[in-house]
Amino acid sequence: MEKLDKIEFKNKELQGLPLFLKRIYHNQLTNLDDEMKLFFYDENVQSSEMRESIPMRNICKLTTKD
Amino acid sequence: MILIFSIENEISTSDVMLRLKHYGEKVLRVNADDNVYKLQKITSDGIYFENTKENVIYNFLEAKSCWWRRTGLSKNNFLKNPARKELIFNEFDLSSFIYGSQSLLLGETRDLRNYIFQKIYENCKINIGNPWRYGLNKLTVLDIAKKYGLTIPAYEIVSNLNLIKKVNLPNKKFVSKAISDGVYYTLENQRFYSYTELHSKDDFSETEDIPVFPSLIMDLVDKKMEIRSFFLDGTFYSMAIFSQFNDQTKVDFRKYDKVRPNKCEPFKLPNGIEKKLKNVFNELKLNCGSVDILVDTKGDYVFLEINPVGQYGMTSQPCNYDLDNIIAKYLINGKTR
Repeated sequence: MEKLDKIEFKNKELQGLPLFLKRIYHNQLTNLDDEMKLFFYDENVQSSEMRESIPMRNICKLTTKD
Repeated sequence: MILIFSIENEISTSDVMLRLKHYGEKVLRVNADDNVYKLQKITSDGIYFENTKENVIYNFLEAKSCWWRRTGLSKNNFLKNPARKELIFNEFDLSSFIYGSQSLLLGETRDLRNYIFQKIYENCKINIGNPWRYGLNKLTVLDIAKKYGLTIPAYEIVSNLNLIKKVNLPNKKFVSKAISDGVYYTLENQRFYSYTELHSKDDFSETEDIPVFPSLIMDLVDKKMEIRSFFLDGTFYSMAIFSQFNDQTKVDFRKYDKVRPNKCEPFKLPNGIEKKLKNVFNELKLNCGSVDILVDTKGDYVFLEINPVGQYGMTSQPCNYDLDNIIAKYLINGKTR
């Protein structure tokens, strides 16, 4: 939660929209191509899976100049 | 042979499969979003799918038990090649017959899927989940819960923000929720979410005429704790979540505080509440699902909703219920104990 940014619409901006859209949150995702490299087909579970359910290494690529 | 219908990267499905493998069971996992199982033919004595990785054909009607975890079958399972997008004959562009929202293949997929699940469920005496209950209607489930004597929060659906100051809810504070699914969208490299949100009638006291899409607003229940309970064939595995002491989690515990996580403990629901909940599950023709309940400051149990395909790892791990093992054993012998 601590990494999420918030968007809050004013009441007037909600015209025609449901109230639950008043506050929505967002965060930046990891690079999808890098994330896909963590998936492999596991015969034991007959499915493509991430190597670790809670990956420990940082797979983010910086997208800003800093 | 045990059949599991799911999607790729669904961790609970994988954990149950590992248990079944440990017990020496033959398991077929059918994902709706991969290209492994393809329908070959349906005859009077079988529904034959080809495993394209093994080049082996299986008759799904030979399964002894079945778990419909999620989705499980889609158009993917009926097409051997990538979906065609064009159908042109002389001067006629008939592409909309086979592609897009009007595609005739959508109806074919729906009826094939329904028939296949119907036959499998008729055939398997042991089964978990209900392929026709992916998304429950929150309002209908609240009505059913009320019918069986469970307390539900006061709520109204308003179509104009100027109605909020006059709504007949006991408290000034209320929460907004999606009637169906909240926001969970990925746009470019950003993911967007919505939660149950707190509001006050005062925030809308000066509001003029602002027509909105019909919106669910629910009385804020002053809670002592919340309960997440996993239900499987008559048995409840419940967990108390003490989310009310943390401002970040007290309205919606899914706004997880990773620095000060909510305390979670195993919990036994009163027998009377379990009996009423079983009636709700029976009416919904569900033998598995996760229930959300609040316990208010007076000690009353307030029913919120049922999620038929919810994650149960969050209940299993803190409470040491080992639900993966319980599900695996149920698929083997049809018993939860």
